[in-house]
Amino acid sequence: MRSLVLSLLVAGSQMGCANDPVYMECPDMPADPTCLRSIEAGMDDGMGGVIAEAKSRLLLPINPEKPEDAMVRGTRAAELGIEVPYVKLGDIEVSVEWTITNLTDAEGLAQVELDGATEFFEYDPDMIVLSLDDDAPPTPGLDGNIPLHIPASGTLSGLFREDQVREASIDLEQVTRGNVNPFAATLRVNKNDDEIRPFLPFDPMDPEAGPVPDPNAVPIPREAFATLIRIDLVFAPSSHMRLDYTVRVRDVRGEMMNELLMAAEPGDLHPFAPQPYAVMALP
Amino acid sequence: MGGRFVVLVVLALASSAEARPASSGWYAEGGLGAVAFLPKHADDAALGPAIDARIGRDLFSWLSLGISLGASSHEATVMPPPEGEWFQLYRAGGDLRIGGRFDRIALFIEGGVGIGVISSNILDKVMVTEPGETFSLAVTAGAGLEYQLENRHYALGLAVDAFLLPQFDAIKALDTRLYLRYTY
Repeated sequence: MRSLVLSLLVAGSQMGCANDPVYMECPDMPADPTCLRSIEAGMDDGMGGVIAEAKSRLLLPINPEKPEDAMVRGTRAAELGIEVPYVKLGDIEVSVEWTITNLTDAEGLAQVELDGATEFFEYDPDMIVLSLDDDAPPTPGLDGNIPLHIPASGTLSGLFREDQVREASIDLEQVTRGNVNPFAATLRVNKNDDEIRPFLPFDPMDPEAGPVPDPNAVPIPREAFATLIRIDLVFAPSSHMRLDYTVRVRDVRGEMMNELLMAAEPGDLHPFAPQPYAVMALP
Repeated sequence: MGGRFVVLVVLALASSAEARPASSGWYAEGGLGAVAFLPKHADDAALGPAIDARIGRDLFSWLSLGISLGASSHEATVMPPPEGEWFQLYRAGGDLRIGGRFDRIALFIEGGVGIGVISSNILDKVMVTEPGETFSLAVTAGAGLEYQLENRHYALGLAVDAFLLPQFDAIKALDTRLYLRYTY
């Protein structure tokens, strides 16, 4: 009977631990001023124009890496001959839920674009100019950017699912570490890819040249794919609207997310410093 | 006045003749039911299915001690986003049950303390939980009745417990369950 009681107690204590999701939104007083829980756009800017878009970004509160884990990672990186990230694809599963509120009494359109950053690079389409042709399409975001009809004074909710964010992570890796054209990366489904074969870097002096595989580059295996550790959203409505969002994370590895989440002190979190990824075609 | 009446009823039942034989001693219960949150947080989570298990021992014909485990699953109905997300509430604790049997019907009252565990922080949004908060004391009180089957080991029961989780902004809920009891 004693063993039965102990078994029941142990089972009970384990029930709530299996990568249950946590939900995060930007706090009232964020350390990062670009982390905004609610963003508005489409309204008059007070100078005769219209604020076309609004941005927000949320850096996931991830625990510092343990020294022993860093040692294992360093050893693996030396074996592979490439950088191995701390937060790898599959360590966490992220989704983003959003709600758009139309603040006018007329139907309008809105677009929500997903961008973000891995621990290596941040992806901002505005920093990637592949062509100087005025008719060339703008560099795409990692996902989203689909025109959505928002009823007058109404709301619409949606989400970027876990598989979409995983795909966006791989696309970002392809663009930044594999020199893959952003259009090719985002238009192709890569979520089951086993590796990334890098191309030669984009030549700004010859923007129309096709991609050429890099003969000297080491392919990046899936185990070295980084995942998004920062979620960036770009909100572009046709009239005055508001976007609210929540980031949902499942800590699959089980030790990544700080238990205080967005209330954690910055000093208690891993200090990520992703580099801006920029490519500019030259005349 | 109400409390005195309950005690009298319980004592009367405890002393009544047992027309239908029933086992006494170690027992186990398993039940299914539903948990509904009460105001002020009734709007933050929907009614959810629940499962309960309990083991205990009858110390006297009118008193038993037990431990229980319970789990319920609820859709969070907070202001979106997020929308359509669920969380689970787990409870474990010890309790004391006082009651008596009249022929094939037994009535009881019960109360206990334990812990409550919530599976996610989704109710942070409505300040039920705070960042990093997962556990709460759980205080439970309720009543129920049992119908003794012809087999002396088995009884069917219906119970309603109210529970309070003080650390979760003193959220209150009602746990209603139908259960099968086996007494060894």
